[in-house]
Amino acid sequence: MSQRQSMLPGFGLSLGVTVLAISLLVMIPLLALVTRSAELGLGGIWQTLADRRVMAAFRVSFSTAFAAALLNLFMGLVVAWVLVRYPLPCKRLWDSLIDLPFALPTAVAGIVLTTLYAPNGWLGRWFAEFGLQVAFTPLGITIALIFIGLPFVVRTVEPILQDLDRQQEEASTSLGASRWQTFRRVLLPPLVPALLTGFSLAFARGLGEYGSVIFIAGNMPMKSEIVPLLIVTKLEQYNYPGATVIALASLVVAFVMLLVVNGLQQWTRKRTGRE
Amino acid sequence: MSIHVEHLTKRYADFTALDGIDLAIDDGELVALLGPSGCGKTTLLRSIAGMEFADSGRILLEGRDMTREPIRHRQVGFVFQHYALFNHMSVFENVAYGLRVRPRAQRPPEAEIRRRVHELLDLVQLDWLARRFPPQLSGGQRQRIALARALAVEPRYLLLDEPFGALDANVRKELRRWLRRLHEELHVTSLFVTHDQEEAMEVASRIVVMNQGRIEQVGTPDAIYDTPATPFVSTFIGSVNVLHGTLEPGHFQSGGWRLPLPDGGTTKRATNQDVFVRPHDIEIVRDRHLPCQVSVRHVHPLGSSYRIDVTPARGAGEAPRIDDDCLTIELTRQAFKALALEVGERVGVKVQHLHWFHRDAAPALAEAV
Repeated sequence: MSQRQSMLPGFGLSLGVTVLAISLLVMIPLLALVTRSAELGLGGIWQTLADRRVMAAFRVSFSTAFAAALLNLFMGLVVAWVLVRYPLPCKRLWDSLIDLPFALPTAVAGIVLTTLYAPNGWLGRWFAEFGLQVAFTPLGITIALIFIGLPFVVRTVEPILQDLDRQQEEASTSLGASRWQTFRRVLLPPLVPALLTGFSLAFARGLGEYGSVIFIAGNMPMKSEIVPLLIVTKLEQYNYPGATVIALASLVVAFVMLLVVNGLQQWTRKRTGRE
Repeated sequence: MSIHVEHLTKRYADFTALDGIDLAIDDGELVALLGPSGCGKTTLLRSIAGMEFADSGRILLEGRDMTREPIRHRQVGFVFQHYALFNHMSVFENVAYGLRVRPRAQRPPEAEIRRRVHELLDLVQLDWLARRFPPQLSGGQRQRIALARALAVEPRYLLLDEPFGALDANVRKELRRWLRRLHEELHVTSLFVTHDQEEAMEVASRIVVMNQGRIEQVGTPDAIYDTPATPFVSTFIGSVNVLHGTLEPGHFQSGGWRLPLPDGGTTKRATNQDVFVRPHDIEIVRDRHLPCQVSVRHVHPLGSSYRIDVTPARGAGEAPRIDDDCLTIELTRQAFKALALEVGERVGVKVQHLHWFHRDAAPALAEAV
């Protein structure tokens, strides 16, 4: 540890608190997950994961979470843009509405969305006209995850957007750039790291989301069953090692994906001289 | 490439930013828009650039009406007070930007872009920074890069909004001289906004003095300093003593002051006059017979010159009063040393030049001797 004088003392103390908190709250539970899964041995782990129903659940969970996060990436940017740049009436109100999915019990969101998007619901009726069933399909899961994930993108992009120097846009147009060029070359690059963060947060949340999804998903094995539900099912069957193995696998995959996003972020930072 | 502004007016909810501005700028001029903050100078510049649009009036560039044209079509280079460089692009890419965003048919080939950018970076003497990013540069370097970026598109007009406002004093002085030289080299019609009169005098060939959305005076730096058209210009440009009182044949009476006018003074009596005297237009003479005798109150050494505060001399034994009007006189270092003035001393003064305005009259009634 270097003995450099810093403005705020207490490096040792804050490091201690951090290590303790991370150990108690994150590392030890994760370690328990690993040891519990290890009870099955490699063969057992493989057997659990290779099950067709498990694989299908992984496919559903990752594809819906990815699709929802991707959609939130665009919608979140647009929403943040409107909130920051346009003089809306009752802006504060709109602004707090964004955070509502955070505060609402997820089960409530799930039930409301199911009621709305069921084939005879207010909105589901319209989709049914076009032969499109929303509730009880992966599409319904995606909609629930969009609802849950939107605030992550909006809230990470908003502060960066607020701090952008608007004169840079004026400079860009004065140099002859079109609106699209100004957006693509001047506005977007500084937002990319924040967008990636928002994306990975929304994606991670989508993977783990349970309450809002199980109602609208219909939970048909092989079709609309998500990984968290499968874990709960295994638990109800007292198959604890099986549940931990699935949990661990889903964690590992999510971790790798987040690592990739982080790497992408580092790369854009380096490329744009912010290192 | 000339700029003509005709009766430009712009109002915001509660104040008038531009109040019928008429202005003509000739091809190749370097003109300063000078005025206090909120006088409308930046609004005028941004309207000429096409970043803001006036409520009424016209803007002609080279005789063509461009009032409603967006900035992209005006071929102006704009330099911002806070640089507005693209922080996520290297210095090279910043300068290349204007060339890269051209439609494909007009875009120069990559080799040509490289050549042009390095040429411009050489011009601003910063080619060695081409691979750096703007946040790694000093303020002065950033502003020079911003200028190179604006020049890359070969603008017909260069508009600069307080270009040196965010820099420290030394860098500012250096960049002023540098801007002048650059203009002599390129001869692009240039208009810059400043609130610093020294900067305007030093850099511009013509100065437009603005106040409260109107143009007070347009002229060369000398003309503006020597023959200000309005009381505002008199006080805004350079330091000046202002006295209020009555003009009489041969002298001016104000409170405790009875200042003899220089030769050719007025012969008529006129009340309610504001008289403006520059500190260096007053001469100190050790002569008991001069009609105007003063007491030296304070001496402030300012380096190359001395500032001396004087009050009307009172009779022997009469104490100076706190409410005596002070006149400020400025002497060169040599003149001060030659006189060897002392505080409290009684000396005579002669006024060499002054001008006056009727306090409530229209600016046209200004007179000077």
